[in-house]
Amino acid sequence: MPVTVRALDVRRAAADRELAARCAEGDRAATRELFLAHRERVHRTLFRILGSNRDMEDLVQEVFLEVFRGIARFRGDSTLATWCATIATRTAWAYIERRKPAMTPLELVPEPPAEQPHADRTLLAREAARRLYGAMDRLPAPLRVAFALAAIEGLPLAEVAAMTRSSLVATKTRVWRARREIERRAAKDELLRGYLHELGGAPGEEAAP
Amino acid sequence: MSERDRLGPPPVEPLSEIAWHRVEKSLFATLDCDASAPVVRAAAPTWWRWAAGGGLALAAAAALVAIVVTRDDGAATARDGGAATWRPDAPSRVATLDAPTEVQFGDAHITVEANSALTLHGDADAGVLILLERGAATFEVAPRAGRPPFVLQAGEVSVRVVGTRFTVSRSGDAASVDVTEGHVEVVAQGHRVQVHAGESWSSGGDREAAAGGLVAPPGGIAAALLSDESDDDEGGDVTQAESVQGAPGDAGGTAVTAPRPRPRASRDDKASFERAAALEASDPRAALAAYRDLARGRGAWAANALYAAGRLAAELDDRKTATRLLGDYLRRYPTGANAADARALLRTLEPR
Repeated sequence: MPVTVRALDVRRAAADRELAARCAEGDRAATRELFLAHRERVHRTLFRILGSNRDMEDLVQEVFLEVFRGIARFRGDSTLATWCATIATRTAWAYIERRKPAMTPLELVPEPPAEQPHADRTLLAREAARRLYGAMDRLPAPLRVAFALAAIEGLPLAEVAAMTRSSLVATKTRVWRARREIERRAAKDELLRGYLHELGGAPGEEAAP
Repeated sequence: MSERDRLGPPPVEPLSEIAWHRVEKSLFATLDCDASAPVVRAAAPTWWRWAAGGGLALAAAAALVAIVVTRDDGAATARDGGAATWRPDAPSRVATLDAPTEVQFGDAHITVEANSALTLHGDADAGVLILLERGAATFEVAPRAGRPPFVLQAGEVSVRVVGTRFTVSRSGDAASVDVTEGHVEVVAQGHRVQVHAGESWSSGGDREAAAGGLVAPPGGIAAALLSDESDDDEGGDVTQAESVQGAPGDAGGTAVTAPRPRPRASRDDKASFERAAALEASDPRAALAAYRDLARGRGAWAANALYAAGRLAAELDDRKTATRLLGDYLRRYPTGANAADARALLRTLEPR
């Protein structure tokens, strides 16, 4: 029911504002509470954009330093979760731009035991992901970030636009261009082409923005 | 692709609890420093953890990072009337053979070196007492402000932690303490010494100089150990070996001398390291040479420089050099602050 949803949102917004205010006052318990509540979302956002990365721990710290140093500016216009994810997105963007990413191709994900159900499919997914992030390594930051958040993480374009402080049209264009570029690189790679298709269709299947 | 064949989104590699602990500890240490020290924003994020460590040493007073090290004639130190009561029931014992192991105990992360043994008492609510029976262990302990105490005992030496990273080695009743992060205070029956990151303290040195020793002050060493006094409001500027009151005959104390820190790193080393780090963006090869030059020395900044050289070589795609440097780091500093990072980096350099 819309009324219920609205009520929950109001409660959450109030709780977020209260937690942020306590953090801004230097309440260490509140700071830890925020860190524990949102660390997975931050890590997930970074991972979606950057893939496996040896600097991941440093980047997570960088995001939370930014979060806590700017927490006094939090006004509750979005949820704390979205606020943290937005800072994670900015951090990943800056990381891509300041250095050539040296990605670690998913080798840290444990190999599934052979007897594990769907082991073959898991290995195939790992390989497809490795090739996907390999292709994304060559994309400029705006295209990579938009594609990762929209096509891989599955966020609505409007949310991606808000997180990247871009217009909806620009975001849609970036996703489309990124997909077209990866598709071009995947011309002879059936696995990657099929994976792209699964992640939301190939450029040929949707109109350019 | 049929629904049955769908691969799903790329898997997200979870961070281990140990990794999360590292993130949390470093994050909160940096936040503690924020009020009094500028935070270094690194172009290459892998070294700002060290800058944070350096910031810790400089801003120790604000961060309330201190360790009290002393001799104690008693066995397990107990504190009544204070915040903690030890509960030695149901202790856990960790003993290693040929390989080191890692232990998470409450909010402490402990690396137990090969051929070492320790016993863990208490819990996160009541406080923690760790008895190092033999060998060496490295401790990363979150700041104790508002948390129960954390005490380590190695033979006659007790270490009270407020929050830092340090290594304790034990040989018989003698023990040494190496501090890699933070600012520590060593108290031994009437003497108090400030020890900074990169410096060491050894009880062996005390014995050599014990002939002219002083005597414990009234109240005994346990009172000194468990006192919450900080140097911040008592001594003004920190000196390397500052005597505190103690008169012969008081409390029938045993003769001891002040522990003497053995500085192994200087502010020059830190400055050299920071210059090398600043060079990384504009001239990485020069930065690499500077790191390697600094790594030829000793102490914490030499260790940091050696790891940084290995990390930078890896980033420059010079796998051979990176592998050699990181291997050297692990041989020289097997329990160093970046040992885990070095091992992880080496894994990424292995031929596929």
